Amino acid sequence: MSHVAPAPAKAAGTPANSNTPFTRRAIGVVFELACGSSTWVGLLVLLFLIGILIWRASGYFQGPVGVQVANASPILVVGEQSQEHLKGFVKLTGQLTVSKTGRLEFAATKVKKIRRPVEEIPPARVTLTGLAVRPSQPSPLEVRLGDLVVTVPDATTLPSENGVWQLKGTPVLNQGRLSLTGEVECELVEEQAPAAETSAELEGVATPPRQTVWGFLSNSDSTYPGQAGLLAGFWGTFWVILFTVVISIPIGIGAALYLEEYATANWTTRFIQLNLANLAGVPSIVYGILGLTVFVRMFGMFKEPGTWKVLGLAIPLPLGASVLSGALTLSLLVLPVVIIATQEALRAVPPSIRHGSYALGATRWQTIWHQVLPAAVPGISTGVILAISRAIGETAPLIIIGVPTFLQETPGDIRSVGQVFQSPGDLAHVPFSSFTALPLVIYQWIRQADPTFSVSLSAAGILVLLAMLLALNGIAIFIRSRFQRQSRW
Amino acid sequence: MVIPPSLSHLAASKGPPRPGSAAGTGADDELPKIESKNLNFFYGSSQALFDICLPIRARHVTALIGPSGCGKSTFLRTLNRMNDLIEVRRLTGQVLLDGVDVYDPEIDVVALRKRVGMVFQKSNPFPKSIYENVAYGPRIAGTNKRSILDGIVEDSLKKSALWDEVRNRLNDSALNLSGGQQQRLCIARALATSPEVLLMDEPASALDPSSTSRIEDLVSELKENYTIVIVTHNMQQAARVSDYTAFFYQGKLVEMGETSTLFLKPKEKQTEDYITGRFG
Repeated sequence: MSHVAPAPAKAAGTPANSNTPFTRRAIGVVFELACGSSTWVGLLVLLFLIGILIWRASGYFQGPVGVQVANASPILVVGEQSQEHLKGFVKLTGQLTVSKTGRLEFAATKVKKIRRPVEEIPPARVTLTGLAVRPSQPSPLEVRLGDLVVTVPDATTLPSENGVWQLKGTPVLNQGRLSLTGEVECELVEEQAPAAETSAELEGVATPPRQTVWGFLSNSDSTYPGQAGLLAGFWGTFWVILFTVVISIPIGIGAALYLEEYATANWTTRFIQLNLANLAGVPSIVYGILGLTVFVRMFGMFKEPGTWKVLGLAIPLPLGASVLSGALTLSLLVLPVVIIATQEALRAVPPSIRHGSYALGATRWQTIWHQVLPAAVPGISTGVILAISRAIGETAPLIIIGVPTFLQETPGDIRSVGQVFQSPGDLAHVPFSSFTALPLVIYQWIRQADPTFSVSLSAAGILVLLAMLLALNGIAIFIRSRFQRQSRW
Repeated sequence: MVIPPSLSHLAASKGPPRPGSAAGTGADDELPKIESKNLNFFYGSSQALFDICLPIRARHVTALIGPSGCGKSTFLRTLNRMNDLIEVRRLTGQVLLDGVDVYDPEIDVVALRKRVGMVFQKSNPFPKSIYENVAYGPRIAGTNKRSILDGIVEDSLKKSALWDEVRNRLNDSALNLSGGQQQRLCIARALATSPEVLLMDEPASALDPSSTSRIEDLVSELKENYTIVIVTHNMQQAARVSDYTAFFYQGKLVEMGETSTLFLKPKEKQTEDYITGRFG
């Protein structure tokens, strides 16, 4: 623009003028830097988050996760040298300590492999030697052994006085807590001793200490971190989201079409419009309460839970915390978002397209079906997929409707894609099966005291959830670019 | 020759409508194809058209001129009821197409718009292929046979003088065409439903001079078979292409007459002021 060049005399005369070319340029540069830096900060935070998650999760797949000795006694084994030998029947000797995070760590200093026929293998035994403190009260029957608290089943076997004691029994680890079961023996070794650390001897069948990524994806949840996996959560999320899509897309697009293309602008439609915007902002937990009343309990219409047999299919009434209830609840959650996004997309279709179609003698429906909807597909699909991404991560409404956080079964007992083709009949049971979902599994892991669950496994689970979200967003971008290539105006 | 007002009564006395009178005989040409009678139009509470009585002769070009906002586009849109799309509107009076009121509740708007095609100011091809753009009208009317559609597409594109330019790329996106080509595609699209009347709302206002002259040539060719109503801002264009011209000012029809008469010897002072460029 030619008039931008200022008169030099004027610029010199008014140094405080905020409209000199220099200040204009400076403001531009500052503005650009501010905008740019906020973008970079956002990106860095995201990379930082993903980096931490990968770091936390990788520890689980690389490090010594825990050795399951016998069937029911996982105890964490720390010690590099022992990794290769920890298979088969073993006898481990080492120190048992409680780490700062509350994790029970067993640092094996000696590993002995014992060759025995399988049928002769006795139940796992642990021998703990340490300075025992007599319990001040008989219940719960806890013996403090160094900084370790051991729960023992029987009052008669309790150490009766302070000193170095040796406890023998079958170890069971529950929520980071060690308890002894079976035949528990207690023996006073020394009355006064300086032993500050608790040494332990562990005997039993060890399973490989390392969890594989495939194992993590193909196992169901377990109380043992070395065996826990996402399978049940993955299939639960898959089915719930599939049904949510099937329910919410036709209703959502239909409602948006009616509001945008058919309804006249009167008091009622304005009221609906206002409430749609409000509903899109309602906390998800509120939808959980609604879903609990309407779908899970069905207003208490059925005094006793029964089944309704249709075509050889037993439909539970009320629906309970089934896949269908979850999907209906999540549909309520995403519907306002889907409707609003679809309305925006329909509004973005230029009126000239509609007028061109009407002028050729098209009916309203033909205009919508042949011109408006195809032109709105990119916007609609973007909105729908963003809404679905939100639904995938929802935890609160599912917890409210009573979805279990720990479940080993998959809906309809379908554990692989191949199974769907082999026995398609299982599909009919899917909507009425109980389920758990990825965010619930992660939530359950994070609540555990054992950091293998609360740090490593949950980080790995969150990574899988993020990967699913990114895949969905990728689909949205693909659809948008595909349809936008032909529809520019 | 100015169409005498008495002619407008002939349409009413003609009795029942004659179906399919598009390819009428020479006698029909003397009758108005479309005629508005005491037409008033309101956007909400503001009146846009005042008591318009305007006969439009079959197979001739009638140009509507006037300054911006004078109601000529509004009038054009009342002829094929495109104004129905506006929610807050009111209309009194009549628009007779071959003697039948198009605002009669019995009238099928969809059928009406097939008889009265429309080309818009800004070319608005659908975001589809060239072929699909032209075939859309017949398709939604129920013609699905490929061979028939092929014939209609070729015929329409030939009539709109676009065939030679696009015959080898019928499946390309219509949005890749130039502005002038897009507008001729829109004309082809309107012709594909074989309308009797073609309404053109400033069809060349967004085009360069050479594209404009092509559209004007096209209009002159099309009037052999179609009744054309063209809204234009460009008085030279009106003088070049039209047989009759109507001058609108502030929602009123000021003067209507044969183009040569209106431009050379206008009866009204306002018309003279406008065409000599004193205002507007």
